[in-house]
Amino acid sequence: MVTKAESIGQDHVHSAAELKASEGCYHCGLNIPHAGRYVVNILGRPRPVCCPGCQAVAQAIVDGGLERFYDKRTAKSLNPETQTQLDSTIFETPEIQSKFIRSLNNDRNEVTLRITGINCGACMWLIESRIAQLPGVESVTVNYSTRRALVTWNRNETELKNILAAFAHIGFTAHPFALGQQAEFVQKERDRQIRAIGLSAVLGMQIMMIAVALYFGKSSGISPSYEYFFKWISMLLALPIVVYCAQSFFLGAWRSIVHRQPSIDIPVAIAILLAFTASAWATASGSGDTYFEAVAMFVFLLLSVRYFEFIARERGLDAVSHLYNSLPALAQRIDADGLTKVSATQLETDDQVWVGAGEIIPADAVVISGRCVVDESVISGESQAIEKSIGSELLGGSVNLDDAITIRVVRPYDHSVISTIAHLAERAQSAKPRFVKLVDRIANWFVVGLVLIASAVAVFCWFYEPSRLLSTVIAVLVIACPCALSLATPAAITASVGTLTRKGIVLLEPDAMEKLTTVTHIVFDKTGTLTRGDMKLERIQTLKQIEEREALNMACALEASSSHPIARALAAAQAADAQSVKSPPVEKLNHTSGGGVSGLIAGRRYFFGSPRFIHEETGNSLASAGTVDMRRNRTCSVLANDTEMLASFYFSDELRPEAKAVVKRLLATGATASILSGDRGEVVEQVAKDLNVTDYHAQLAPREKLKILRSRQAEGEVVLALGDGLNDAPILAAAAIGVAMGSGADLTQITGDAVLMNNRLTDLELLLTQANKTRRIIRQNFAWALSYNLLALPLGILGLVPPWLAVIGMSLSSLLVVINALRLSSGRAEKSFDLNGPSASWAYV
Amino acid sequence: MNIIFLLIPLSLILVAIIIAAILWAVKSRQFDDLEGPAHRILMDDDKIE
Repeated sequence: MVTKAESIGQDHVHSAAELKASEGCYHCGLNIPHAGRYVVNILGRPRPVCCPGCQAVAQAIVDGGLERFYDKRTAKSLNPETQTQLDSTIFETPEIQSKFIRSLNNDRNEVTLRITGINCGACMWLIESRIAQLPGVESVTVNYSTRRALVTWNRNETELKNILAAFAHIGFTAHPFALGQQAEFVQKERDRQIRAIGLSAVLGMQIMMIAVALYFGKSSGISPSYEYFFKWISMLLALPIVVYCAQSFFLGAWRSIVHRQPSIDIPVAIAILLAFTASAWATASGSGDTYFEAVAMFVFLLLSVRYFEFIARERGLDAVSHLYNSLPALAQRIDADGLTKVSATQLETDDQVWVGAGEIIPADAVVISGRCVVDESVISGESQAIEKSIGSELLGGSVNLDDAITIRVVRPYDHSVISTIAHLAERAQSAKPRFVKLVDRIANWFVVGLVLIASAVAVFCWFYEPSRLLSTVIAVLVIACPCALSLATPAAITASVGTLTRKGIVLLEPDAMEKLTTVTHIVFDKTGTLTRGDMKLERIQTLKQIEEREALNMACALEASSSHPIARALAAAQAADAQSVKSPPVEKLNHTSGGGVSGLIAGRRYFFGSPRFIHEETGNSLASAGTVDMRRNRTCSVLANDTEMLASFYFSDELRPEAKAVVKRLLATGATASILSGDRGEVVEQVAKDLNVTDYHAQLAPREKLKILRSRQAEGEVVLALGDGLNDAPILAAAAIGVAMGSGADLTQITGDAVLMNNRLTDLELLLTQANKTRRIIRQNFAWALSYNLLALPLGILGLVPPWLAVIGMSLSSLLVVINALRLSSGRAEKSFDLNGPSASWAYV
Repeated sequence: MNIIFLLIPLSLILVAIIIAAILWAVKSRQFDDLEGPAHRILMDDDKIE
């Protein structure tokens, strides 16, 4: 049951405690702007929620008999109002249907959905339970790792849009998802690798078991019939390893020969082939040593390493394939015979389009009738609502927040600002200088040397000691195989990446860890990065005989029904004031879109809104009142009655509480910092001053940000860019390291090298510390692997090491490197990152 | 010790079965979601009616 708080009554002692707004919304954890306004009975008690969206979702969950979800979950849910829902009517067109929906037998359809909003195991339970309840749905399986769901339903009983709507009802966004070619390739490759590892592990174990018998036989004697039998069995077991599991090494070696690019695959392939053929020859001829166990161990170890590397890469690819599969927005074109639904890509210049409230503007356009407020945060990253009236330019991709408007397209979809930005990001990404890894250089150099030395040894033995040729050459190739050397980096990075991921820091670029240690300059975006992206009431300036508190209460009363950031800031300020009395009742409330509100309080008409709105309504202007706070040129709203102005309110975007300390510590490490923002000069100046950053630039377009960044890089700085929002995508991609705050748009996350999921600035510090720790471990590993190889090589050349000892030496060396690397994952497995931190830049409503 | 000549081929059959199991697991997408089952096991006890 949904109840107004008033009807619960004051005498409910426990509910009063629970209705404390300070604990945040029961559903999403965000602050509650109007305490007691939205309440849902969950698990036997009334629980406060922050907005109608959360109320509806929570109620739907309760009504579905699934309220145990709240007991099970380990993280707060996402605020449903921050999620953009697709217009599901688009799925009625047959082209779209055939792209995503697969037909199965017995009238069944199947679709893969990509779901946002899953952040703990209980979400999976909730979705599977709720969607399975729908009539006609036959099965639903959520893949927790990929955040995808596979839904099968009977096409005679229900439709895809009903299923999507059910997802929306319980607070998740589901997008139909088609696997791109890339993703399909990744899946095949992953399957192949798992098969290869599994096979080599199982077969290798058998070979090792038999090898133990052969080792003992060597020292204490073994009857020839057993030895003969064991060797044949070993060969039988080793054959699939060489033919199937080791395929990728042979292919890699072949490619590197064709491209004349030395790689570790060459000695690996030679060693495997040589060891296997020699052993096979020894087995068949009945004389000589066999090295099957060495082959199996070698292949298994190397394959495992490759797999971990591959998994790390796959994560990045997944994000990109999402971008390519995102649907174009739907547009409603005004034709001679009324409205026609078309894809946004089909719009042409001068087409007239009708855009309803809450819809996305489908192309760059001008308003030809109506006025509205739009949110351009997806393009500008700045989350302030902007007013548009007839003649104003609109950017495609921005969201029309309130009234329906008619627009005329100026630039088609492909040339719109948002595609241009996406394009810029893409170009910046392709221009990224290829980072040549130290490991590769050393290992490659080593490989060339190794092959040359092995051949020299072979030639020498050919003439002087042909009987020991094979065993010596194999020993040289195996013992000096830079396996530990090539493990040194990936093992440490894999361990480190795992630790970071558990703490909510996701690396998208495998090279990021190494580059992080070289950062000399940090570029911050302002809104949503250094600041919360949420409005805060900074000060109230009374202009007439009125108390600040009274002015605040009146403003709150007028804005009470609004969910605009300013209304939330007012409510928060009122809630923080212990002595604040209840807001007076308001009658005849009247909203003026993008301007302000007016209403009757105690029989008198009051206005609250932007200075321009007040000027239009009452004829008074702030300048004539004589006091404008120019220095802190923040968002300003005015309270007035019909004759005079009463008070002005200044709002600021609050600095993150940890920003000051973090920036200070980062500067103390010797790095320099600068702030690049699209925001107004005075605001940026204030932030820079607060943080002691002397280098700041305001009012920048994405292109200009990119230019400044490029000039820094031309000066030889290694730049780390920390940003949020789509306008940062180009600089995140162009910077040596791009770090995105978790609340940023999807595209930002893709162009960045790392994402801070918990949206905390302190995580940037953590990331840098971990990177330095990783570098230390990598260096230790290098030192060990190099000295081992350089020491072992002469011993191998001199023929002092039999192949089995070479494999043990090589394995032990690799093991040591891996164990050392594991020190990086020392941090206890924390609970998976929680996403309940209010994601600032989403906080527009 | 002649039993070895029987036991080792027997173990080969076992190996073949294990490999078949691995191939089946990969084919039936058992490795697709390595995190979900860990959570699912905690939720399973009360399926919704």
